Amino acid sequence: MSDTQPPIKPKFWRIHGIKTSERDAAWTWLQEQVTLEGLRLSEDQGFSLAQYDGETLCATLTAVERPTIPQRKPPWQVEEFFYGLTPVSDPEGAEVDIVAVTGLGGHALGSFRSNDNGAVVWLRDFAPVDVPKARFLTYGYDTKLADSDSTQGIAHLAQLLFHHLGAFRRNTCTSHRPLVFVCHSLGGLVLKEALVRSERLEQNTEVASATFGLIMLGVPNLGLNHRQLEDAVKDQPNSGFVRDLVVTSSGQPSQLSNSLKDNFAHFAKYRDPPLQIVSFFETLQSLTLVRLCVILDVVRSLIQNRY
Amino acid sequence: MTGKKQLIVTEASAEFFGFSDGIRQSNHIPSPANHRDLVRFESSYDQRYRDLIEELKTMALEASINSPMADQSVKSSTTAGGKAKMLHNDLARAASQRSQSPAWFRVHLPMNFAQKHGSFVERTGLLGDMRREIFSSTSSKRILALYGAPGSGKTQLSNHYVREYWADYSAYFKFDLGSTERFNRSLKEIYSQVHSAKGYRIIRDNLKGSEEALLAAVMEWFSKANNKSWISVIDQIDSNTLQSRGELLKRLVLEVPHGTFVLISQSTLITRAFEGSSSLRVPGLSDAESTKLFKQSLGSGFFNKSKGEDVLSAPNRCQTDLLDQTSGALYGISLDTTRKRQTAQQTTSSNISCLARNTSGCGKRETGQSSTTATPRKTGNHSSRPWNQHLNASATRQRSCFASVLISMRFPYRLACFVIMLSLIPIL
Repeated sequence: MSDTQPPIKPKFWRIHGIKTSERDAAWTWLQEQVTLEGLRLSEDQGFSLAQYDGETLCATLTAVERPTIPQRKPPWQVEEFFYGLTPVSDPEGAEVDIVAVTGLGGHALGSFRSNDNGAVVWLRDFAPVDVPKARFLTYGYDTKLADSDSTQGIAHLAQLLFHHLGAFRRNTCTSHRPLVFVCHSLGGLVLKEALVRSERLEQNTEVASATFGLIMLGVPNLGLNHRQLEDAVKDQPNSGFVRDLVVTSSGQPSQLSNSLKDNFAHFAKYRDPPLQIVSFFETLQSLTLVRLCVILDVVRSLIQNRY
Repeated sequence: MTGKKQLIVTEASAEFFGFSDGIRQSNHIPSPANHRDLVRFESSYDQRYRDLIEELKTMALEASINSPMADQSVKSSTTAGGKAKMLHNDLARAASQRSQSPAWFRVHLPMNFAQKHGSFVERTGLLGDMRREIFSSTSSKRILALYGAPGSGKTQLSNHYVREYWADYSAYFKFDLGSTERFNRSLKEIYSQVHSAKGYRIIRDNLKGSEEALLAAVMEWFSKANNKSWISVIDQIDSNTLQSRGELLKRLVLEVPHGTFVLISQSTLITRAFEGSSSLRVPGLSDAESTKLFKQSLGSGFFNKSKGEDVLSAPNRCQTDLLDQTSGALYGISLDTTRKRQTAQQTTSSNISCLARNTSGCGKRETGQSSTTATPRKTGNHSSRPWNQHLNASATRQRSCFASVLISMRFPYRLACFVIMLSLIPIL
């Protein structure tokens, strides 16, 4: 599958506006695009095509270059930001929705790739084979740190997550399906906040009550142990947001982490049926050289702004 | 380029609930990767990926079975349109069917209990009466009081009912009020069954609690929103237990909002103690029934090896059932006046039934005291009656318990015990 690395870093593209009637044509086109790239993927890997709403489909594609879209009416739209929900598998008769929520500065698909230059995304390319009765979705949101003008806090992200998810499930007539979330890092905090909020404010309760289980990978319930992040975003509008996530200078959890932890414990304790929670924690250390992060972020934003 | 290396999210931070929160999460799993690589997997053979996908599979399966939205799905399906609607309706139907006996709350019958069928002397119509009485209530809470003379087969009838209609129930529990220890034991057993029920991995830790704490935990489980199809049998209610545990029982039976309770007593007192219950009198055995029973007891007791008689096809099981049926007769030694009056009515029915009881009574005593003569019966009884096995063998077991512990100890341990005891002498 990934025995030899592709020489260049492939990117992920999302194609919107494919009409349901164009499914077969789109499928063939996507297959061609992948094989053209010669990315050494096995068949049916490297792309996905799934119902997006009543009329249209949404496709994802791994490709080095921005794909040239065939002439269609209405035209298909290509983008690489993946904000909002992206369905990456859509089996017939699915009984569960599995939603992946990425972490800080993550990408809805890119965060789940096999390695830095990997073309394979487990969410799209092998997990649907292992869990055939589930529809896999991935949620992306803008949390890039460098040069950010964003003033959003975790509450905004949380509100948007459930808002988007509720709308998506209504559009595809699947509001009743039980939900399982797979969250990485910040994504877990966003989800916790969303669950607590929806209970307290009675917003998007259909999403919250369908939530069955959470799989949490390295969710910083007591704050990120990454003080350098704070320096990186100094004087930026998102510094408050980052300060909330990072442990304080004395190594204690931030105020937000603490209150969110308590609120969520209260929520989980009195929830019926009980939430199933499985968490994974890292056992290898990470390089926390912030300059590297910032450089990467700047490069990424430059690439993104080119289009 | 080198930089500082550290864990970005520590093990403690990645865990959801602390000790103080009073709840536990299902699992906390180490993953040999750094923070970013936690969600990056080389291939589907990556061990970390396998760990994750196994959890995801389990969760997806449990979620699809125990959809918390199953009830609402039927409603929402009416608003869907087109082809999606058909699919949706099918799913909704499947989900709602499953929700009648949710696997979430399923507790399996004890293996031996489930196997035992067909060897029960069929009480004509009684099973149907019981079924009708239980379902005479239209609410989701059903209470049935079974009363009748000792040995009339109340316990056996309730067992037979559970076996016969097990498909309608998700869990079966038996509270035994025979004595304090037996009540405690049944309560603990029920608590552990409830605690290990699938899908209920998060529960407040009450195991080390008192009788009341245990009961509260069990009641909490009984009261869970979708958990409506369990059946509980409360056996051996009499005026004594009503006096000592009346309040506890009333709380259990009356405060739980749904479910099925079968109360078993020898007197009609219980029908008055629990308002809103329907009741059914279990009459003594009819002539034909007791003759059959007698024949069975003779067959299994004396003609174990004989061939050709179909009643003897499963001698051990026949014997066990007979013992169950007549176990009431043994308790009847301490009859109070009300019970005596009832017994008087019952015993007129047949001499043979008395004879049958006596025969089996002997058998029962035998099993308790001598292990050599009644080996087949004893083993049969043990394997098929986990609830009452203690009753028969407790005496022997208690006597041999202390000795067997000493004997089974290996020499160094025995020596160690001895040394410890010696060293304690000056302190004392």
